[in-house]
Amino acid sequence: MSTSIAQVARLLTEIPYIEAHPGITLAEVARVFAVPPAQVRKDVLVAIYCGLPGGYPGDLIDVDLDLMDDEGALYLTNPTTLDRPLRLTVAEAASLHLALLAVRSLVDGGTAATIDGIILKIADPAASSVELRLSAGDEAVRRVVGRAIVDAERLELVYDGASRGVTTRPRVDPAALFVRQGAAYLTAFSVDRGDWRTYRLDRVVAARPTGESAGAHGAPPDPEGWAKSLAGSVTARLTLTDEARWVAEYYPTSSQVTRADGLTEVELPVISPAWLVRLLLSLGDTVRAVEPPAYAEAARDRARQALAAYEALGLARGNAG
Amino acid sequence: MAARNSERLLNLVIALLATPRYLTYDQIRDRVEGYQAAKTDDAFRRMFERDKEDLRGMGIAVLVGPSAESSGEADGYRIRPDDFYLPAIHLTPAESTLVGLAASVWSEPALAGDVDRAMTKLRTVGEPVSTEGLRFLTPRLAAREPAFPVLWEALLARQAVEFTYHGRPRVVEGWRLILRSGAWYLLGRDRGVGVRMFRVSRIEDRPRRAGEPGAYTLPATDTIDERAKSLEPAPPVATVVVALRESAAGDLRRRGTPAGVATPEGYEAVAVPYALVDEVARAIAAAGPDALVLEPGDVRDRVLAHLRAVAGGGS
Repeated sequence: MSTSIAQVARLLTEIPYIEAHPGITLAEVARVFAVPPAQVRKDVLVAIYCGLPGGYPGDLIDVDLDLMDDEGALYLTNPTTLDRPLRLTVAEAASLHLALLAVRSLVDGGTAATIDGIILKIADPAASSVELRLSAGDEAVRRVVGRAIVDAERLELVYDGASRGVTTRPRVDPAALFVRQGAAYLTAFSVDRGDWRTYRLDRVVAARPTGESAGAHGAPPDPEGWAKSLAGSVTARLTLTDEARWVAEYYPTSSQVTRADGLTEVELPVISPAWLVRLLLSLGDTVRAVEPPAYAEAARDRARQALAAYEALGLARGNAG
Repeated sequence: MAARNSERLLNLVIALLATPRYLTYDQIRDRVEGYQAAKTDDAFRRMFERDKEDLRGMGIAVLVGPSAESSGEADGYRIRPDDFYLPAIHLTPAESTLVGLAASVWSEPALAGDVDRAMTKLRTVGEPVSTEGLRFLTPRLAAREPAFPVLWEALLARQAVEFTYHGRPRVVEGWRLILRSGAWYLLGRDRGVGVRMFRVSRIEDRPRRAGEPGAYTLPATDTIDERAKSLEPAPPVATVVVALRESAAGDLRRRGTPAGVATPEGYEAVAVPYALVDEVARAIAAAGPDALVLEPGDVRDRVLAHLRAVAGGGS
């Protein structure tokens, strides 16, 4: 985009903005428009040469330059019809629409209704071109968690842990909600473990206030750090048939190679050994090789235990062998 | 020089907005400050044509129509205020604050820039209060698929795209980009085949724009919604009763409801609805000895076969 196009696009919003805020400072306008104050000054010096056709003094946009340079304060007189900004472009509307939907996925019902109101007001022409579905669990859980964060309250969660596949009842001091990879998460300080933990919201079956206040644990860790710590952990290499190729798309992989025989080799971070064993059990014979082999052995043990349990119940009939 | 260009462009916008009639070349050259610098007719026209394209690039609709002097031919230009201005809306402080929060959502610089510009425009119709109280919310969206930017721009411009998918070259009119479970999908009409859903990460080459922008119109939103449903899980067709070991297999327990059936010690019975036998059998097998199918027998056989494949020979 040429500097003139960027400048004119900005001026179309800057002129009505400054007009609507008499006495606003150069620095404040610079902050709102994310440009240096010197750029705002340049923009103003363009604006004062513009106005209605004819070019009589009263037809031009006028700014008190003395006040601008002495006090940094802007007073703008605008005889033109530029009293409202340019409407949102399709790209602006579509990007904003998706961003608002992402925020909506984290908040309680009341705030979600406010967001629906914004979307309705903006009457986004791109609305039907974009769609977003995030797994953010139960609205009632989000409401309780959101309120507990604001009020610094301790919660008891009922949580279906993904890493061990076990349901637990951790007592936590909730701190932040974030979205990554299509799902919403809670960052909370686990009182029982004495450390920060990340909980996937759609695995939180219930959240109950304990009536206790949350402790002081400092700032929660950055979600980016959490994503990186997963990426940096132990990895496993799986050889997948075409049927299981979704694994390569669903989970973050550190490498992915399609071999000459059509099988796909992927390397992925092991969230926990129990998690990988469950993945192997669900994939069955669509995974052809596992490296290191200890994970395949653990999956084999679990499968044999399950078969023995069926046997013990007299339910293992059928095509045994 | 840049300042002169900006002044001329801005004066052009103001003049085309202020006129109730279409302005001819001559009127624009006469009235709009900045075009007097053009020495010849040709130089003026080149300058004006370039400016007109720049305005359209900003998303400003410059209309062409008959001027007052015209005997019918479209010889004039104007901008209709209704096309130009942000609608006369007002955002409450709470609404503006949420828009401010939305500005930090995208990790894609191009899309983040678009939201920033939208937010700045909306600042003129509502002032946010402090976002301090919402700081605990940090939703982030990403679009890492290399094919995404071209699909996004083409879709918003209603321009067809060409790409290879499942080994076949396609020409697709995009209808909707959908983010689901962390993956982007393009719903659209493949000109050779019909309406299809494409997983963006499976596009095998870099998509190219094909033909002109505005080459097609979107069907009704209801029609698109209906087609987009193909990404949703199919409705359940049957139920399987599973004995779940206490405090284990939470994924299955969340899906189901308690079933009043006798179970072995330490287990509880849960009825789990499902659409596809293969899917539910994998989900049950994943839990190993923590989830045992009580009934029906055909689902149990699937799970047993699955477990035997993992257990290997000799069991």
